[in-house]
Amino acid sequence: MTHDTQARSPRLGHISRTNLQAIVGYYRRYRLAVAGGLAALIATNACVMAVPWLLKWAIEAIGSGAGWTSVGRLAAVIAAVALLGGAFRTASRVVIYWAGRGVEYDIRNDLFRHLLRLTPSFYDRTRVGDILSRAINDTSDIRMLIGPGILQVMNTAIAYAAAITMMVLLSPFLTLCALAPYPLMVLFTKRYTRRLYDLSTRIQETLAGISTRVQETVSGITVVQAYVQEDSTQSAFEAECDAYYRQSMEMVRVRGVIYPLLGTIASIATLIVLGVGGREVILGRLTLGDFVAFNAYLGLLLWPTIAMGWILTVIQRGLAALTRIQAILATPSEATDGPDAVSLPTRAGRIEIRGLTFGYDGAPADDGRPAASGSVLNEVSITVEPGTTCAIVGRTGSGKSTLVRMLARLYRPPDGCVFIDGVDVNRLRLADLRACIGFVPQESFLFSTTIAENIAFGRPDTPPHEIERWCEVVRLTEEVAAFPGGLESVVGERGITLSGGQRQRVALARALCVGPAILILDDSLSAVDTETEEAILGALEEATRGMTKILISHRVSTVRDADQIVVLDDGRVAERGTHTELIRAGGLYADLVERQRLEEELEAVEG
Amino acid sequence: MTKQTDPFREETILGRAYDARLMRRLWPFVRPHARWLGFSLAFMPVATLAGLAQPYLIKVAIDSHIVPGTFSGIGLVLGAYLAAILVEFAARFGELYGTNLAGQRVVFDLRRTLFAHLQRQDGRFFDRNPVGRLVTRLTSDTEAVSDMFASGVVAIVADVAMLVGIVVVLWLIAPKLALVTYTVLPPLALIAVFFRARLRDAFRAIRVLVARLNTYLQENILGMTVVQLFGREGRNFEAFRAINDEHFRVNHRSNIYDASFYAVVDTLSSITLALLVWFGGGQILQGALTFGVLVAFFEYVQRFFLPIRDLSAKFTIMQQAMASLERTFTLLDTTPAVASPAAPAPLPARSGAQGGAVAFEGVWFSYNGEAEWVLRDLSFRVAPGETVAIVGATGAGKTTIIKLLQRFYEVRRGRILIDGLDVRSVSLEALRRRIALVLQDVFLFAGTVEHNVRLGEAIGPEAVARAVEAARVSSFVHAHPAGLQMPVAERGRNLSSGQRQLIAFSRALAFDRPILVLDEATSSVDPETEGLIQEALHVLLEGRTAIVIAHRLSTIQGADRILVLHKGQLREEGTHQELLARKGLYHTLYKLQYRGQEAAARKTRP
Ligand SMILES: Nc1ncnc2c1ncn2[C@@H]1O[C@H](COP(=O)(O)OP(=O)(O)OP(=O)(O)O)[C@@H](O)[C@H]1O
Ligand SMILES: Nc1ncnc2c1ncn2[C@@H]1O[C@H](COP(=O)(O)OP(=O)(O)O)[C@@H](O)[C@H]1O
Ligand SMILES: [Mg+2]
Ligand SMILES: [Mg+2]
Repeated sequence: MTHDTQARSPRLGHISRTNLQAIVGYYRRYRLAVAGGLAALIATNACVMAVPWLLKWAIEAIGSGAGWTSVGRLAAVIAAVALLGGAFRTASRVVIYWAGRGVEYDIRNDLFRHLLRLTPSFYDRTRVGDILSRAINDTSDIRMLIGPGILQVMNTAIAYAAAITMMVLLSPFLTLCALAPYPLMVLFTKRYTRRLYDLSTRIQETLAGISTRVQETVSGITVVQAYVQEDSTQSAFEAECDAYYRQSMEMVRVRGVIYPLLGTIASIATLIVLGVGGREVILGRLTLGDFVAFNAYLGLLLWPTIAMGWILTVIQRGLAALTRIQAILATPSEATDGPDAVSLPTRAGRIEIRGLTFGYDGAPADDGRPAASGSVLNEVSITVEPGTTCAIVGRTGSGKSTLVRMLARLYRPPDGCVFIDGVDVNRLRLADLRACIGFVPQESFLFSTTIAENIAFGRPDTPPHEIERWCEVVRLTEEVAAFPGGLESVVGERGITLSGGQRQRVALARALCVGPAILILDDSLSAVDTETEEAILGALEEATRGMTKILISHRVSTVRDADQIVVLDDGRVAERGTHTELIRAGGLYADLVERQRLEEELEAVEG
Repeated sequence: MTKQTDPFREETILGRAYDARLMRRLWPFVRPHARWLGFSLAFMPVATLAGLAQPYLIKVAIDSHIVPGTFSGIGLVLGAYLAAILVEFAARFGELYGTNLAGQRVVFDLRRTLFAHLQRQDGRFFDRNPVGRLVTRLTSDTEAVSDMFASGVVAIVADVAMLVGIVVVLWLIAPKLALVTYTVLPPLALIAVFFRARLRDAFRAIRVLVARLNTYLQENILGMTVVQLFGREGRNFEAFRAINDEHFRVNHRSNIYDASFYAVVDTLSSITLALLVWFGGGQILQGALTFGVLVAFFEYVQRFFLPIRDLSAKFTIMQQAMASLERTFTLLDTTPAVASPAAPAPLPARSGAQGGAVAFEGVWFSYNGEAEWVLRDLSFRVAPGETVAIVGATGAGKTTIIKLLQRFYEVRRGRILIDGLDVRSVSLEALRRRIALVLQDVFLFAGTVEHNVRLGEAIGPEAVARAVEAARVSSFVHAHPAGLQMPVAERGRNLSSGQRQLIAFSRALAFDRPILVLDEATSSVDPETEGLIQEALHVLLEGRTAIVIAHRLSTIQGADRILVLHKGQLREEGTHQELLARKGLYHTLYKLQYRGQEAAARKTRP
């Protein structure tokens, strides 16, 4: 993904306007807390700044031989002020960190909410490892930016302002001298922010690459092992780790300079004060108390100055991360209800497709090359009356799955093409649309929970006896009973601990369980043997009475009883009709049957 | 990782900040780069001394020049101060550079080792470990180890050196004043211990929650289509929010400790200052102390508290690193049940066209314990050049047979022979190089079609072209402008299921191997395309051994022999005709498939 929202303002490093707006927007909810924290921070600094002044008085008291009691009193005041400052500091940190965590919490929720809304087309062009890396690593980088990062920025600003004011009060001339090396700091940091930002971005991308590689290798481990590709996979992985190593070392060099450099600049200021200030004292233009206090104020700048290096890295890293998260959040979602979205008037389940032409709009793949473009569906028109069954057959890649995806609006069809119960699916409330469809995708994805929970996925309050009934319909009862945990057995990730056919049947039961008006089976029994399939289809007949059904299959035995059969060829409706009509017509479908009939005849002869 | 119960819940980890056992185990990874650590450590005393010298030089400046009012010689003091600053800068850079270099190299090695280790694991391991967890091991956990080097262990040693140095220097300059200063040390220690315990508990809770967040996120992203289809967005969001909420609350708790600790240390530092003023002031009044010493003490005290302030941050880094190391080593400790023998028997060389022999002898297998047998006493043979089909209901154990042949899992009883040798006696690599496999669950890598056919192997363009042609991949690839370079999205999402199967099929053909194993390889492919593939296979598979699992009769009819599997047992065996004639399981299985057409055919042919 690109981060085109790059910085315009060189002063602020790489805080682009959208980034700034985003941060401010998130903080708005916590503005009271932030204001309170800021106030506490100012109070803290007031206390902290009082200490050197008290020190000055104490030293002047000692110098004038005022006696131990007055010195002791001053010491007691210092301790009291310190305690007060500590209390304020605790308060400021707690409140500001709380706000930071709150922002993190909100961002994470927003991200997940947005991910839930993004359509499959987004997931087609974005790699899972990359999304995960953003959701996990980048949010934690942002957290560092918005919690400790912002706190330190505020603290540094206040500390500088306060300390410099006090120093000017003590001696304007000495202040000027002491601050002489600081422009150097500004110069250096300016030079390094850009590099820090770019490096952080690159490092985060490489890390996402590593995580994607691991993800892919583990998911496809059986292929890697079966084809003995461990070595080539390993070297690809190491190349990525190597890139990461080199980028990290570059970062180390940059940071290795910045951190000590800032400390050195602060120390040089002390050196100047020592020389110039010492001279002033000797010449009698400054008291020793002033001198010590001045030194102490300079000392108070030491920590914020050293912390500046850390702040810079954290901020640049956080901004890079924010840009990456914003890229996801800025992806518009097609899966939202428009203002004029309507509810489904009835639940009859009438489907009408009129002149549907659709292509996967050539969304670029990861490497930027365009994917297959052109239209996958061409002028497809189909009407399925409520309660009837429509079977779709056709060659691999002819667009069957694409067609049914349009019905559930997984991909958005053009307006005015796909209607359910007379309403354009694009105008329907998505929740309504999906609630009326029971969809069994071609690839059965199960969640790593129990079989029962998987079946009740669309209707979590399904009573157990109903779950058992659906199990019976899909002929799972016997097999499930053989598992140690029965229906409560936990299936592995994606359901890998089930056989392919078992997985398909759980997915089927899951779709049945929502009690849909329209049931879509996309080649959903391909891994199931014919005998079991026959039994399931028989049971389905009973259980799905009244539902509109769309059946995609390559098996003639599955589709032959359908009320209409649609043959898709290269995205067009090539034929339609009932089994007998189509055989009589002698087209593609007849060829399909002929092919199987010939085989059967052959067997009859041989057998 | 070996825990039997609930393998999908992230294991809770103890929160120690230093564990000698783990560090010892890390040592082999550190040793090759130890000289960089040494390099870094060599700078440490230099940096410490240069740091310690600075306040002392201030004392000298005040006592010998500023207070008496003599300019002469102050240049020398200032020069020394400048030198100390520059030396400290250089030494700190060297220190940082050395540790980071060592850290990054250690992490690189650790990642490499972990990845290689992962690739050696068997099926059981991957059944138990969610992908997300393994990704975490190789990314976040190794990062935590790198952080330990960058700002943990060496920085702490440097800090401790500085603290000890300051304590000693204070004593040397003014023992009495030093004793007064030391009085803050016991409360400081107490406070540190108190907060450490709190922080550790909070930290432990945070880690568990982070793992839960990540696992939940991962699964939902992978199954997003299903989540959306079943309208679970609201419910799943609530579930996510609940975890996020808990995460927020635990973090808030840890923040309170963290903030208090920082503030308490800060306050303590100021109180020490007050103590110095009070006691030191008195001493100066009595003439027992100089101003310079008092100012130097102020400076030292500030330097003393500086590292203690972010002790809790360093402590967290160390804790994180220990937890990560613990899990890393637990992962490295899992020895795969399946591994090449120490002295593998050599498999006789065979060209692809010579075929290979396979034999199962009394094989028993179960995925979990001995309770639930998936295969029972299974025996069969496949001769070189023979094509054998395996049929059976879903869940009968067909795929399991393939997984055992490939040795993704180990048989419980009995044995499996390949060309007369027990699969356990030959190397995994040699075994797997015998077999070209199309798995029931097709997996495609992101990249191009060609990459998916060849994988990392050096297969010539003609061989690829032939395989692609035979498996009919060409039929859809040729329509694409990029041809074989047509991009494939992650898991082949931009292709239809049938197309994915065809690519996996052509992969098996391109890898010209003696034994071809097809597990429902064309289940999503239309019969016409399948017919064309079969024709091409006749030529391509000449002499090769094939094991074919399928439900479609058209797929298996050409087999020399058919095995009928029922609940893990071999129930029938023979040619198609023999089995039909026997009127057993096979007969009923396939009667159904063709009854429909028979009737239809009769209707259409008057
Ligand atoms: N997400 C996608 N992005 C881009 N192209 C896609 C996507 N999904 C499918 N296609 C392409 O669209 C065409 C139709 O695919 P579809 O999945 O609808 O075929 P199908 O008829 O279901 O085939 P099968 O019988 O193999 O399941 C194919 O050429 C495929 O490569
Ligand atoms: N990884 C696994 N862990 C536990 N059980 C499994 C695993 N894979 C398959 N099974 C179980 O083993 C049995 C046989 O599965 P399989 O061999 O895939 O059947 P099929 O004949 O359909 O290919 C099924 O009951 C299935 O649930
Ligand atoms: Mg399809
Ligand atoms: Mg199977």
